[in-house]
Amino acid sequence: MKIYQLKEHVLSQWKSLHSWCGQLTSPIEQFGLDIRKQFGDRRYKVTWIRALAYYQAQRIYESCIDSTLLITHTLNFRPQDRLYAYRNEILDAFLQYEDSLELIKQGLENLYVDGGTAQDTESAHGILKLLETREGLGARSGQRDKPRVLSAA
Amino acid sequence: MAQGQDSEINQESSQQLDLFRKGELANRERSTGVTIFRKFTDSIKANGGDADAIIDSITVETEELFGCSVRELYQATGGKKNDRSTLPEIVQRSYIANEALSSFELERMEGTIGGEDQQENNENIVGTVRDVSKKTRKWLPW
Repeated sequence: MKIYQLKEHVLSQWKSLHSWCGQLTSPIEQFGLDIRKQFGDRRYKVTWIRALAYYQAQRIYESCIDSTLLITHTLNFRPQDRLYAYRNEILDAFLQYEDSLELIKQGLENLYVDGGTAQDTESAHGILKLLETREGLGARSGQRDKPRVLSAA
Repeated sequence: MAQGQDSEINQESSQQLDLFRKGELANRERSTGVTIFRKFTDSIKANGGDADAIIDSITVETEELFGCSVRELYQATGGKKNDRSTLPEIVQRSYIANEALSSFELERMEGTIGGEDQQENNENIVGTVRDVSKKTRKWLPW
């Protein structure tokens, strides 16, 4: 994504996280302040990528009505997805949640042990490929129950 | 002769039964919360929605049906977090009703929900889910 596309996307994520029944719950002016305070200099693309990953992870975590959803859809990135290029950053941000690994494990068990459909298991390649590239996930420490606030650049 | 006719009729009936039973039954499964939720996500995808459309649709239906977020719903009902089968039966039943109705509406609208880009496409889908959810809410006993 170009930086202007990133900004638009991050704004839509921020709005969804600051809305209730279609109405904004924070003034729009707060958006720029939040980005600067949490993610750093707004002139740099890396700042917007951090924000995108952080907000997407929050959206995935907060809407996770069932852990299977992580495996079949929300963390199951496919090459044609808009956020595919940022899948590693999103997974990193998601893993900052204290119970993230447990959720992923539970989702995988639901699908592969308790019996998901062939359609579900076949379509879960995106997350399996993503996890395959990670080493020592089980040895992580220092996780917390709220996402890490990324330090300003 | 009569016996021959009976035999032909029986053969024809059995072929019809084969057509209806073997052909269709093989593709049928018991509808449950899991399968209805899958139909719901399939209908979002069939209309061009991506994972963001699914995230927002779940958020929107939960807001409209229960007046809270997914996280608050689990906290308030004491369900085991992120395991839908541990939500109270009446909550699961409400989700099932709304997701079945939403998927019917999205299937009906398939091919007509457009948008200039993915964002707009997603918003149109989520708007449909919100409209259906508002209607479903009126039937719920709270």
